[in-house]
Amino acid sequence: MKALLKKDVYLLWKSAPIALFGILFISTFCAFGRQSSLAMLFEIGFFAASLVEVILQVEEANRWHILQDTMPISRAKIVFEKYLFFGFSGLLASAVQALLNTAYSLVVHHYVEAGNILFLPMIIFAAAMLWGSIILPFFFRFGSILGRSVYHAALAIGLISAMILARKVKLPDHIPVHPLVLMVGLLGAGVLFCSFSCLLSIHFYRRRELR
Amino acid sequence: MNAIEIRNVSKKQGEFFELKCEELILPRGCIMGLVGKNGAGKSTLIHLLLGMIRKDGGEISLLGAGDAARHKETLEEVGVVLDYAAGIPGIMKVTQVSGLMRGIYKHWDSEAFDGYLNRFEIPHSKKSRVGHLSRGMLVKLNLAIALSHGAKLLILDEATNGLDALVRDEVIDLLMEFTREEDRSVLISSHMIGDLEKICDYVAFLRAGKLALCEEKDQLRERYLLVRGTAEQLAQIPDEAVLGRRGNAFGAEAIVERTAVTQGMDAAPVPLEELFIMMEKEASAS
Repeated sequence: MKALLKKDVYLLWKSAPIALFGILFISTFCAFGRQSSLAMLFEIGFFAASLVEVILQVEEANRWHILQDTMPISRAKIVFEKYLFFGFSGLLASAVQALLNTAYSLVVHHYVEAGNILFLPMIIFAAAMLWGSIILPFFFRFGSILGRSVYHAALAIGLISAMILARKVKLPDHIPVHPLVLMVGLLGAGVLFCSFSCLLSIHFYRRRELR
Repeated sequence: MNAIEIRNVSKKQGEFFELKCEELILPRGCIMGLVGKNGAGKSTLIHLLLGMIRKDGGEISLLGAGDAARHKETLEEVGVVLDYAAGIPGIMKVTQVSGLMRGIYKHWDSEAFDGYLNRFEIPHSKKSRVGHLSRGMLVKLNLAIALSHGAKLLILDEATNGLDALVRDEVIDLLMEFTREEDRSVLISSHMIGDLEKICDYVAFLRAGKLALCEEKDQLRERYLLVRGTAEQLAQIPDEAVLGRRGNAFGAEAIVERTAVTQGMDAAPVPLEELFIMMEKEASAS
């Protein structure tokens, strides 16, 4: 597992360094431009999780996934490693954001804001988990090329449905829950969603015929 | 215990193709050549063996392990070289391959791998990338990987196709060297039947998804002869003794069971390539 993760990090570094710099750039903008809107934080998270797409595409282009299937690694382990990888990308993006926020607070305010350091990066991590959990089952079911098209179509349908639903149902402006409880709740829901997605991907990948 | 046992395996792919393999057995310590024209089902059979695709029915045993136990532990002892180039991502350095494989195979032998890199003259300086290697080098790299984790069974799926004669010869030498130890076996599919003839103990012939023949090479040679003569001379041989025939303006030739060959006939040992070409032609004609 460690060797596979190391390989993925190397492949990412070599095939899409610009994506890593992209994350760093948006994070810096969020921290120092004081533009940490929810949408931007989500964007960083989505960006971080979608790095796993790059890896899957590089692997399929080289037919590594076929060779890997002849090696003593179970398909469940292969899927789990990819989930670990996007979790790792999300954590990395969150850590970068936390560091930059800390730097900003120390330079400008000369003190550290706990909310900026914990809560905002947490949103990035949650977004990464959410996004990765949505996209990966498509990749393991259909492969990287078809999977990408299918999840884009599914996402468009999902977003339009959500917009229609949001117009019909009036959501409350304020949720009467302590932020810490909300944070733990979100994290718990994220882990559950991620686990479900991982099991679904394992199921899909085990059934897929590789040739 | 046999290295490979396949019994009554079937696999339907799409509307028009179905692989049916009644019985294919590769004893330990032997090399089996898997031949057949394009689309005959060679790769499908190998993918079934490795569990990459699901069979519709039948039994497959690899190194004594049945279906349920096959994955993981068994694959530790199987080295595979597939028909397409490499599989190792091209942007990786050759020097990183060993580190990656060490994390995958329990019995990975870095020294043996480095030895093969040197022996095959695969460039492995700090800057050499897998993507920069030629097709021949990639096959050798995959062979080096397949040979460096203590494999008991090597499976090569058209790995030598498209390689020059020199590289193919090196691969053949290597396979012979590999099977010097008694418990090591090789299954190799190839269109280079001449190469297979040099090394194989057993030959399996797939035709349109069916296993038409699976026999010891020496027995095949013992049983059949290549008979040359005029069309009239060959017409005297009973049809049931003829495996295949062909003719042209200069005469005719047929592969005939040794028992049906009479004195005075121009008979010679049959090269495997001729045997398969004629069998294929006979099947197409009928």
